[in-house]
Amino acid sequence: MRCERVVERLDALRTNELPVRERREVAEHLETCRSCADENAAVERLAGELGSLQPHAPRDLAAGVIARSAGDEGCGRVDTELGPVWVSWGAGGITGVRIGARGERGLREASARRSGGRRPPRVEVPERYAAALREAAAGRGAHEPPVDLSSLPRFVRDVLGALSRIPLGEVRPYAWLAREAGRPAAVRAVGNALARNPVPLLVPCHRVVPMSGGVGNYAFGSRVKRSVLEREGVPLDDLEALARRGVRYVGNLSDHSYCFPTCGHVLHQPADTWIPLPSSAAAARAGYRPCTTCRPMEAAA
Amino acid sequence: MAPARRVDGGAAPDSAFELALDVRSGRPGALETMIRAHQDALFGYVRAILGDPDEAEEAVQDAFVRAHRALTTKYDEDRTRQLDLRAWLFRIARNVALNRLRSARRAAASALPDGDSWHETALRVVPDGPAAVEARERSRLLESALGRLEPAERELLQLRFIEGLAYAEITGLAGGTEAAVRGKVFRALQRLRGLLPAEEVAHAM
Repeated sequence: MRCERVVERLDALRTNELPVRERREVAEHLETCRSCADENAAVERLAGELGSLQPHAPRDLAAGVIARSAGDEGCGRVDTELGPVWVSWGAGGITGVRIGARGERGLREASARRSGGRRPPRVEVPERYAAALREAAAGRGAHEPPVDLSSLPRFVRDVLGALSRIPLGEVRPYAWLAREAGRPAAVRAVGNALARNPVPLLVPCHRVVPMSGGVGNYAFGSRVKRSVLEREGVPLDDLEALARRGVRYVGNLSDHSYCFPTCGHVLHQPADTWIPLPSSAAAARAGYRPCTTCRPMEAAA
Repeated sequence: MAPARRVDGGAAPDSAFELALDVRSGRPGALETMIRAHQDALFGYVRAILGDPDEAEEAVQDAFVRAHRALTTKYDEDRTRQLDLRAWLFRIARNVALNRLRSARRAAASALPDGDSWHETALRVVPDGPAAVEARERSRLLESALGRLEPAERELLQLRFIEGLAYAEITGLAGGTEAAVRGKVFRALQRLRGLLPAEEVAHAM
């Protein structure tokens, strides 16, 4: 047997998967051919090393599948200050929210996709879910929202989980969220994860806005995003005026910390107690350190 | 060298169809047992196709949801009894993953699977300990090299060496003759060695 034919059979020889005749031929060849014997050792070593790369599925994968397979219990409509909002829920809590009168179709389709084809019945929304949605739509936020995110990949859950650290009435940029979610370099992936938030309003993806001004993207349109933020008390006009002047941060004259402009730490201080700053680098040069409450971006070392 | 081993701790073949029957009839805990027995193998396999652990996590969930749905709505008892559960789950997972790969390629915004994701996963799975540093570094190099292979090559190496499938099982899943698969596996191994640092290759020779 020629060397080219032998080397292709070494791995099958190793696991005793060759027909008897071939096995004998390969074994005989190895006794006399030094280069094929070396090749055999290399294949064995690499096979062993690859075998030690054991994959581990995320620990909570089973819980997600079980929740998804059970399917949603129902879906229904809630009337809020923002207009009609559609909601679906399962045993673990709210699984989907769509803003707008035409949200039902997309909601039911997403529910069917999650469960492998089961469409939830249209029923009356349990009062605690309806109340949570009415409160959130009115700009009063959702404290410990009754949502079930177990079917989402861990990365999306990390991103959505970090949103709960943006207080009512404040906004943060995408880069901040990426850092808080533990993936500082993955700003774009974080944006994609936000776009996949199945439970808007309750998990406040609307509180993430571009650093350069404006309210940015929203699955239900920037008009709705603006409306929610205004109800939550975000001074959008002031923020846009600052952004137009190139202001990204504000420096606190009393304790020499710098903050995002909406940080509660500075927002409630008199206007003559802080100065505008164009960047974290400028803040650092002027001797300001990052606020420990809003944790602004830090200048690169 | 020990024969290829099963890393998924899967149920023995003769009890697999009973597990499938239990899932079909909705016996409490059966679905979870099935998931836990096969999730690691399917995750590793799907990750090899997709390259990205987050994508793989969703795809494996999708595969189990589909399997559960099929067992509870489409399969009668006889058909379930004849099921080779493990091979069937791999086929479903493969279809889900390839569909995702196709739609990802269609979507212009989606980037190709990146090598970094492989690193992170490698660091997660290598055990800690005083002797683990070298193994960790070697695993990192291997994962990184795997991440740079073509998806089809990565899939083959994953099935063969990480999941420990026999050549006959691989042909059942990916098609082709055993001889052709042996050739492809060998060439993928050669490519992998070429992607590893030179000194490591020298050491292996």
